[in-house]
Amino acid sequence: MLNLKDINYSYNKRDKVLDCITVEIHEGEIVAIAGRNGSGKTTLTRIIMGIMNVDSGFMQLDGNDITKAIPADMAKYIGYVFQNPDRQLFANSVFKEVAYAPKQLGFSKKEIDASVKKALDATGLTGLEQHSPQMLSRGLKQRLAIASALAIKPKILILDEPTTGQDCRERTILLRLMRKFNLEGMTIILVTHDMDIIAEHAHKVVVLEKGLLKFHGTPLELFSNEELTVSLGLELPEAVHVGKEYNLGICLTPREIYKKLKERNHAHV
Amino acid sequence: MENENQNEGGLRWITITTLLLAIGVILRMISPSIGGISLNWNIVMYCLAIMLCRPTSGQGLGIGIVAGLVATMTSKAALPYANLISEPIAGYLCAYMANKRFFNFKIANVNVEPAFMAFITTIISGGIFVTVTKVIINLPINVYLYAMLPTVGIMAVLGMIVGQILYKPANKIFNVNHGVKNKYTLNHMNLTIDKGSFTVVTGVNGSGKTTLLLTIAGARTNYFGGVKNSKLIVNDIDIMHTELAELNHQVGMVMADYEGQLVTETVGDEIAFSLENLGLEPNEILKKRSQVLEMVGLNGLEDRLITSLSGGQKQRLAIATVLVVDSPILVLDEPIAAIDPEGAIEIYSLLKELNTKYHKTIIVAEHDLKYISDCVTQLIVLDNGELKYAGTMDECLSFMYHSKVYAEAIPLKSKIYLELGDKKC
Repeated sequence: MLNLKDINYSYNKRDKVLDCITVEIHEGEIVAIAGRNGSGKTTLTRIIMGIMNVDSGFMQLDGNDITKAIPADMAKYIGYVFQNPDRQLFANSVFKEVAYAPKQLGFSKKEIDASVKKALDATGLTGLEQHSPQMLSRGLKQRLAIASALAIKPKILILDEPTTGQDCRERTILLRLMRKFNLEGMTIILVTHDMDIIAEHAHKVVVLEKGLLKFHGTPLELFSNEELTVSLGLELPEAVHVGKEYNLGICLTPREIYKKLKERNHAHV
Repeated sequence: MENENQNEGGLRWITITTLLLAIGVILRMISPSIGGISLNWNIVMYCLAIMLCRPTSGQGLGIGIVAGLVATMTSKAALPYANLISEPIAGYLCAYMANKRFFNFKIANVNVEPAFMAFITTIISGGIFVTVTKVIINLPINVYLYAMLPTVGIMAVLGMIVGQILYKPANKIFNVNHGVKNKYTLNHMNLTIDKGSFTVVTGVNGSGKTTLLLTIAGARTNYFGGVKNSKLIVNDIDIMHTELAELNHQVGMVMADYEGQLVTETVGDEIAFSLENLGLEPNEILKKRSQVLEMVGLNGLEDRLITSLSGGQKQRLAIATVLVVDSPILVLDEPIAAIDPEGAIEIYSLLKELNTKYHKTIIVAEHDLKYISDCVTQLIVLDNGELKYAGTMDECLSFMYHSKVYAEAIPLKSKIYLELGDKKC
């Protein structure tokens, strides 16, 4: 559904940030973008959103050329959640925050109410409509940012390091939400440093290094190659480490480990 | 290090005391006097105020002086001026007892501190008052023993009853936090961090990790208020009563938003900035700067722009700016949030080196426990402002697993060990 072809981007036409990136994202996928700090991950998502314009290259969404699109055009299709929710929350109530985008897109009052309700329901924020976003906890702020992105019913949701600064409890909740949206058909682009999330949730991984596309494939392909993983500044997910320790082969998720351990125990019995 | 944390507003104690003393005066004037004995509202009121605010003994003395002046002007006694001696002494002792919580115990599930405090304070105040009166006016000993002292006793008993009755509503009206558990960010926390240890603090967001770190670094009392009735000793220094400038030499802190801590343009300037503030000679600054950059592995990058550094490098630079001060204790708040895995491993191996090679005492708040297993000597889990467990990593993880306290944070590897261990049992 989203095709990026030979994308180039540079600051001041000199410092290359993205160099000939070609990526294809299919509908209903969870695509993770990984790589060292400063490798161009966030820049890539901003280009997709139209916040930054490419120097050269070609972008297509559902067959339509979006290379020159601006954020206002893309907002109908893509929800973007910034890394730091504090930087995107501005309204004085949770309701107004979520209602802002649909209002801008010219939804009727009835539609706005309905979409806000749905977005708050989906993120578990119902009942907090009149609260001030600034007074929410870090985890709730992040979910509110997601709710605002959901209100316009986007086809694609971009999450830039959604688990940064979240504790492990909120992290679990966020990932469960992401999974749910995906099962409902939403395409998700996820920027993250957390290999465990990639291994467990992503269908596809894109690894950038110094603006170059260094890997494009499934998590299994990436993490089966330890040398490559480490050379790209990444690490093996915990599950892979544990799987190796117990001689279970490559395991990507804790569930896989439990399953294999169980099978082995049965075999012994 | 020992820490007990409570919230305390700046001038609240003055407001509450003034208000209660004023009410006391009015009540004293309109109260009936039966056979020359009436309740001394004055004492009961400042006693209540002291229990609500727990001021220092010095402040208690101030309250006593004001109460003494008021009593002198309103008293119908033979020698009103004796109040100027009795009330200050009683106020001072009352505040002292309130701070030490002499009578903080329960009878039949009711905290009887107000009753005891009002009784003892009235006895002290009244006792001194009648003694001074007796000596100065030279009254017969029989009047003193059989009339005046018993009157004091009766007043004390009345004060005791009224004080106990009034304390609860007064506490509600003035919305005082004392005794309400959830209001503390950190609640009766007793914790020892050994010299040269590597302590990791974990817990869900809002459990009090950052507050604990800021308190240790001295920022909590000096910048943000709070934390008064606590004792916190770091390296034999009482943090609660030490100037921040002095504390900087003891505790270095790297905040969660470490980029906000970097203020200059280049790496070299950033380090020099800390040293200039200490008033060092230029050649000494250069020497020290290269030493510390070597320590954190940023040597040769003096002229690099800070904006061009990677996240991990910036974090290491923030650590370096704190290291140059040579403080023996280093406090870091979530040092690897938003840093790539490679950077995260670097940061923790650097911290380990600082701990083992340079003998720094290190205290870190962290969610991601998979990086710390190599370096940690003490793991602490906080929940809702309370210290739930402190011990070695294995002990603490086992506690978290079995007691289900922030069990989400247990690294997969340890979790599987714990689960397999359980099955064997």
